[in-house]
Amino acid sequence: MVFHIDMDSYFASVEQQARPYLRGKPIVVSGRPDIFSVVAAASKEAKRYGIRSGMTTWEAQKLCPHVIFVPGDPDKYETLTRRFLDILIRYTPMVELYSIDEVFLEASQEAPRYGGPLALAQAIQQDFRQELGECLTCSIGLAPNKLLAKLASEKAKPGGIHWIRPDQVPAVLAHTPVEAVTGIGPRIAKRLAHMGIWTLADLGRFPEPYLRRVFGVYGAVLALWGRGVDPTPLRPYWQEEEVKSVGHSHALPHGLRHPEGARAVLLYLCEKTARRLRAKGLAGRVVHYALRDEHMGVSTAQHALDSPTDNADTIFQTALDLIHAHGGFPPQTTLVGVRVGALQPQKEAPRPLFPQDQRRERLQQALDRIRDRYGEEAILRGTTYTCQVLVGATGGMGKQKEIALARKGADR
Amino acid sequence: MRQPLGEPVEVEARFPPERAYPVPRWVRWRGQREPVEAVHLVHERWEAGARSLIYALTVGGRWVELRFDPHRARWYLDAVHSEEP
Repeated sequence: MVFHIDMDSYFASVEQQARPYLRGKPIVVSGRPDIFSVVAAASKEAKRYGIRSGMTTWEAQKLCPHVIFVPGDPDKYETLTRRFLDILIRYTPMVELYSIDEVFLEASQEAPRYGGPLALAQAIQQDFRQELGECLTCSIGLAPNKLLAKLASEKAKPGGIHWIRPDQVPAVLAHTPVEAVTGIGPRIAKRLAHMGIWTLADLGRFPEPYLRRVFGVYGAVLALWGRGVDPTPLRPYWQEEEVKSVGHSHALPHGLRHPEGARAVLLYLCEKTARRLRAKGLAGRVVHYALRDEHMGVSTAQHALDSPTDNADTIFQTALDLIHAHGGFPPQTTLVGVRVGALQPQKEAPRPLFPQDQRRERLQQALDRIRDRYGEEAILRGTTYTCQVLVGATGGMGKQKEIALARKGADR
Repeated sequence: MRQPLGEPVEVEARFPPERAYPVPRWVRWRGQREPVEAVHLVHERWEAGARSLIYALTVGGRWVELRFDPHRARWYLDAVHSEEP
């Protein structure tokens, strides 16, 4: 029995919990509200106006002129995620932190002790309300596997519990459109629709060899999903492996979807990546970039350096050279990402030999000291100023691995 | 709206063994001693390599944000809510 626990309107609910004067009002958590930004989370009240995550703040304001914009506070969301993880671990150690606001839990053995799966789900909801706050509600999906549990939690929103029992699976598959599954994006869904596949049951009836021919290895996964089978096991937090690469990616708001904007965001992300590497005492040798255009076409490439680096300029220049070697930035770049892999402890990496490199290293250390003391935005490059629009917009997202590793460390 | 302040305040707090953080009971600010009516949220903030605890509270009928610096054992009133836009 797998539980999928999804926090409702997470960032917005946390803000409403912290500030009672925002409760019952349409609020949006975003980057800086005074400039063009994107919606990271909308409260239940804001959702009633059609506001959704990923929209621009301008679009949100058009839908609801009296919407209240609240800047994101990643520390707050991370603390709350650690806290709800602690609550769940009291029930079972089989807890997978899937994202900052989503958890999978395997509780077949524990459920009878609490009076069955439904009673256990209700106990979890009650603990969350009592220990985290009345605004922090969650939707819980119960099902035989992760794929179906996630579909069930969608049905449970907001704040409910939905159980898909084994005998109900065929009916669920017959009524679930393929794009409802995380992992089937709009492009794949469109291709499937051209093949006459609309629902998961349609997918299950389709011959697997044909799916394999069209989609390769992914075709085999699609065939399993079509039969309601999820091949991915639950990965508890204590099995989380140490970080193999460090990187950042960001979807670009409309105002930055041009080559200069994408270049500025790339530099901004390289700075963040290098800073995180230094904070962890790591350096990496392989630089990898990813770009996405407006047609969802993705371009990626990687390059291995002669020696490991934790320097933002080196990472940026390597990524930029790679991008130029692969046709440059698309005219409409919708996503930029950079990652540094082949990590090793920074103290094992060779120190710079030449005076200009030593100067650059000292400059980087001085910038780190300023940011340690006065905050991340205390000092910025002029060329990354436009990226202020991104700050806080997705705060806390993608941190689940670090939270899981910290919890694993606390268990030892 | 949230009005930033950043003033040192005196706080009377309990340190319950089952909690990872102290729980404020009274706040003395600008000569007035007010009871803490509700603790809405407590979260950690890491800044300049130091951890502090941020409290969202209702004190004397008004929303306030307190910060506790565990290294110096000092409390600060970081913000209050005022109705003015």
